[in-house]
Amino acid sequence: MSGSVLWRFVGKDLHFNRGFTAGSIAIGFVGLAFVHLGPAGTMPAITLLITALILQAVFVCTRSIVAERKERTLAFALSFPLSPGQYAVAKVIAATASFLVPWVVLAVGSLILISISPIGHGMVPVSVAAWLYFLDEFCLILAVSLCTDSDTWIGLTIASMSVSTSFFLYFIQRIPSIQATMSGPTALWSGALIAILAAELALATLILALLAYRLARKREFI
Amino acid sequence: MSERTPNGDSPPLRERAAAASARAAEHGPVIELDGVEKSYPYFRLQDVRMRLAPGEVMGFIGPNGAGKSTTIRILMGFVRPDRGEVRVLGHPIPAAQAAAKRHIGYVSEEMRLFGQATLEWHMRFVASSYPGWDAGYAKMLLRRFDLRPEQTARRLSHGQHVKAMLLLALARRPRLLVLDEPMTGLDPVARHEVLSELMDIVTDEGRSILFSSHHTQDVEQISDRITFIDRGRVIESSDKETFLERWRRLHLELPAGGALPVHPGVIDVRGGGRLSIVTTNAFTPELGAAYERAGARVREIQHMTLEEIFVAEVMASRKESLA
Repeated sequence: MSGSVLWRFVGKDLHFNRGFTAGSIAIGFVGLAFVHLGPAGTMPAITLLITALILQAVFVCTRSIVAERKERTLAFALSFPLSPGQYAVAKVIAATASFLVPWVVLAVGSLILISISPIGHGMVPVSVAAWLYFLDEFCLILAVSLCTDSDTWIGLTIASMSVSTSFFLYFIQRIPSIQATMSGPTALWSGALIAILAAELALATLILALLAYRLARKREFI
Repeated sequence: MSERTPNGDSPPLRERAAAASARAAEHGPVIELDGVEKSYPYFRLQDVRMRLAPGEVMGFIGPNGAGKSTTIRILMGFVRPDRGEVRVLGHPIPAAQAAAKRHIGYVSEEMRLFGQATLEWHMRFVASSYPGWDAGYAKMLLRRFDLRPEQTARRLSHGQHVKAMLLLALARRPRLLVLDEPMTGLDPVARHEVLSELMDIVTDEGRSILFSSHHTQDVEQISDRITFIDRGRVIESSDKETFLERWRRLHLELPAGGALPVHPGVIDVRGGGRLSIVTTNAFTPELGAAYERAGARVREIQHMTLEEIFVAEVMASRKESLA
């Protein structure tokens, strides 16, 4: 029975997050529309896409995890027949699903646009690296939201997310093997790029493993 | 000598207590805490032992910061104790808390509903998780508490919020109701409404209630067992009738130069000169007779209210721990 209660909590969070998820997708689509303007539209497109995804990651975690503690709805949630561990699993599933919906829609949208727009296919590997970077950032804010009550840590994480995204995009374009191929007509997956993608996936796995370890050792949930 | 009785004996409570003991012997206690300890930087819950029998209503009384909410959080599985064993409805806590919580209705003063959702949404959500949800009873409570289902939780006043949480807990038809300071901040009318509903529930002998509060008047009306907690320690736990029967305040008149003999169970002696007021937690008619044999005249024997007993217990416990 507690399994079905867990899925009801997942459904509850998806229901509460639905408006913002739709908003993030809309902002992202506006960003994608700028891609049609060619090189002049690249910057606004990237800015709007980053904004949409960071907003979604922050909203999902702060509204459905941090706010439940601050607005004292956590005690109500935990009065249901599920353990704090199951509650945390429900939060991870719901937050990840809420984030992945615009992430997948916008990632696929951007890749389709790149493939049909004047921008060369050489941008595809860089875009994939950028999308995985957003996924890492989401995993980080998710883990911090579930592990700490500290506004300072959550604030620092959000600030570091937006700053580090700019740095990531700046540095990845300056890696010689990537720089040489990113404006080309075909997608080339260099060794450096494959290493970055592997590192990004490993980082997401590490963050989620550390989160699971931390939650398993947690002794107080309210 | 006169005798005042602010809390009249109530045979139904006595019968309920006896029935609860019989059920506990048959089915085991609803709540069992054994040697439970939990340490925080500035607070320690020490060796908490507690039993609640099926059908029993326990008033869990303590000053602010005494450890009531920590104890309740431990038995709900929200907080893991450092030491000790906890069983609720036969399930070990926190390991099997999900199974136990299927039959628990929990309302806390610190708890809030989801602000953006309506009360109707909450009712549907709770109903979907509890097969025993009683929709008819929920409707009746909506009317009785004057609540509107279409109202979002964010728009509810504090009193309405408490009543809404109580509705959501009661309509689950739980075997155990855990109420952590639910009356805090309620106006007198709302308190009356909530207490009246609880009084009705008390008539259901199969249901157990743990009711924590620092307001003894609320607890006194519905409880048949009382547990006092102070500074993280359970200082006394007994059925209400026994409390009220054991505690007395004796007004004594002493002869000139007379001194009071020392009797076991005397918690406090006040006054000076010829008049003394003795507070005891072990009253028997023999105590008055013993004072009279020592030359004192017993002018009055007063029953004590639960609040007076609570304050006297806490002060005596603190004096003892200082000594």
